[in-house]
Amino acid sequence: MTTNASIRRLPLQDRRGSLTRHWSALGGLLVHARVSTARKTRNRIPVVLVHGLGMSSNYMTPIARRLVTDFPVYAPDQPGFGASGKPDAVLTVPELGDFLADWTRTIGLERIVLLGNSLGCQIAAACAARHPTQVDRLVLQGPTVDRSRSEHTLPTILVRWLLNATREPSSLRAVPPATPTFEYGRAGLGRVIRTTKLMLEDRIEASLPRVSAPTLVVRGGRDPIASQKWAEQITRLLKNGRLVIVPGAAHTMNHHAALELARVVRPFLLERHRNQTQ
Amino acid sequence: MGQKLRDSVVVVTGAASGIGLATAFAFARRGAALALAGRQPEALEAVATDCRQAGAQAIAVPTDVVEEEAVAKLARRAVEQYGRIDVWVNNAAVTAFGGIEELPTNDFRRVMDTNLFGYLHGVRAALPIMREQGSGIIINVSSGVAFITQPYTAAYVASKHAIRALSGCLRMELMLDGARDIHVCTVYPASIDTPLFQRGANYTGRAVQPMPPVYEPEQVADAIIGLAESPRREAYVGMPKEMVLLAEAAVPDLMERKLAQRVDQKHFRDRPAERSDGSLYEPASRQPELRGGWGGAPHRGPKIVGASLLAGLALGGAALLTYRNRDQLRRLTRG
Repeated sequence: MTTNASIRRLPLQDRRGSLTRHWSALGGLLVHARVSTARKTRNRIPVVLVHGLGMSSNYMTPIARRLVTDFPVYAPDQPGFGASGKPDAVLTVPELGDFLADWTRTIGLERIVLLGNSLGCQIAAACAARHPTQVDRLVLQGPTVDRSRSEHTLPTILVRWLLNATREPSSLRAVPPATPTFEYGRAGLGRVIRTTKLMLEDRIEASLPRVSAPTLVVRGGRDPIASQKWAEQITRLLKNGRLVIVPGAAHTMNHHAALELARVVRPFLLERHRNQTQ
Repeated sequence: MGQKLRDSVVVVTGAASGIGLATAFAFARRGAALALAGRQPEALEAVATDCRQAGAQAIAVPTDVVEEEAVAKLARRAVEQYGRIDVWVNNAAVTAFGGIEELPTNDFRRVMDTNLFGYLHGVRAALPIMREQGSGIIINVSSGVAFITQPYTAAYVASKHAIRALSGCLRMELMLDGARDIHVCTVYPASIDTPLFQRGANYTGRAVQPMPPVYEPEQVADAIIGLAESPRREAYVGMPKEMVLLAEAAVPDLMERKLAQRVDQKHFRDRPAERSDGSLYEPASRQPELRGGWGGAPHRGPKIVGASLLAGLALGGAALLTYRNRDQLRRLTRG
C-alpha cells in the first residue's frame, strides 16, 4: 500500500498500543511476560492473557495491543513455554491455573481478569475455580475440550486443528513469530505431547460450575474445534455466563480476529467499572 | 455467489416493513448476521425470529433513526454482538402527501429528519467502525424520484434528491482519504408495493396509491444483495435514469407538464381521505408488513410502448434543440 503525502488522511482509529518484555522470578523459575506500558489505565482491572497448547505470549500480541489502550495487560509465557524457564515436570492444568494465581500475586496484582484461548480457557477456568477471590471475571475464547462430540482422540484433534488452519490466514508475517513450528520447537516436542495428554484428561465442565465470576464465552462462528453445541453447553454450566458468536471467525481469534474479539470483550470488561460507580 | 455474504454482519434500518423487511430476509437466507432496526419492538422481534428460523443470527434493536444517539447505540449494539459491521443499509423512510403550501412545516421537517438525517446518523455511526476495520459497505436506499420532480410530494422528493447528494459527496470524501475499501452505494427504486403509501401523512383530501407500474419489494432486496456482493455506485429497480434525463434535457417543459398531469391522475384514487400525519411520528403497526397490497407484478423493465414514446420524445427533443440553436451551431462548424 503506497502512501501519498498530498492526500489528506483522516486518522484511522488505531487502537493499538505497545507492550514491553517483562522478566520476573517465581520460586526460582524465570517468567517472561509481555506487559502493557500505558499509564492512564492504572485504575482499571488488569487483563491476564492465557495462551493455549504449546504457544506463548507471542500469539497473544494482536489482542494485547488492542486492549492496552483501555486496560493494563499481562501476557505471561507459562512455565515450560515461550521464553519462560522450564520446570522438570510438565505442569497439569490445575497446576498451570495455580501458577497464574501465584505469579500475578507475586508481581503485585490483587484482582485480575483472565482471557484464555483454547487450552488457556481450561487453565483460566481452573484458576477461577481454585482462586475465586483473585479472579474478577473470565473470558473464554474457543473453549476446549469439546465433549459434545464423542471423538476427541489425538488424530481427530489433529484433523480439526488442520481444518482450522485452512480457515485462518497464515501468521508467518507476525513479528514476533507466532507459528506453531517455532513455538513447539522452543517448548520441546516432548513437553507439547505430554501437555496435550493432560489437556485431554482435564475437564473444564468440572471447573465451570464452581466459577462464580461473570464469564463471557466467545466462539468464532467457523471454529471447528469448539462447536456451537459445546459453547452453548458450557455457557449453561456457568452461574453467570453469556455467549457471543462472532460470524466468520475461527479458533484463534486472539491472533486472527483480534479486532472483533477486542470489540466484544471491551463492553464486558467495562461493565465492572460501570457497576463500581453505581 | 451466495457464499460471499455468509457470515457478513449487516445492519438494516426500517426492517419491520417493505423494502427493509424483504432485505432482512434476503440477507438471512444467505447466512448473514443481522442487526434489525425499526421503531416498533414487537414487529422487529417477529422479524428477528423469522430470520433465525432461516438459519441466521439476528438481533432486534428498536431505534428511531431521527435520534442520532439512538443510531449510535444501534451501531454499538451490533459491534458488541458481532465484533464488526460489514454492510449498513440505510432504508427507513416515510412520506407525506400534500401541497407545499398546505403540508404542515413540522411534517415536512419530519420527512427530512427521517429520510435524510436518519441516513446521515447512520453514516456517521457506521463510518468510524468501518474505518477501524479498513472495509465496509454503506447502501443508501433513495428513489427514482431523485432524478425528477413531482407535485404533492415535495418533502419526499427533496429528501430522496438529498440522499443522492449525500452518497456522492461521501464517496468523494472517502476517495480523497484513500479509503479504497469503504464503498457507498445508492439504490433507486421505482414504485414498490410497500405500506409506505398508506402509512404516509396525507393532507390532500384524496386517497393515495403508488404510481404505476408497481414493482415488488423483493426486487429491491435483490438489488441490495447484488451491491453487497459487488459494490457499485448506483443500482436501479424499474425505470432506468438515462431515458428520463435525456427527455428532461431535450424537452424539459413538456416533461414537467406531462409528469405533473400523470401524478395528479395516477398517484391518487377517486376516493376521499381524512387528513392525517400517518406514521410520521408513531409507527403504524405492531406487526411486520412486507407489502402494501398494491398488487405489484415483477416487471423486467419499462413497457415497450412507454419506452418508444420516450425515445421518440428524446429524438424529437434533440431535433428541436438543434433547430433552436442553429445559428450558434453554424458559427461553430464554420470555425
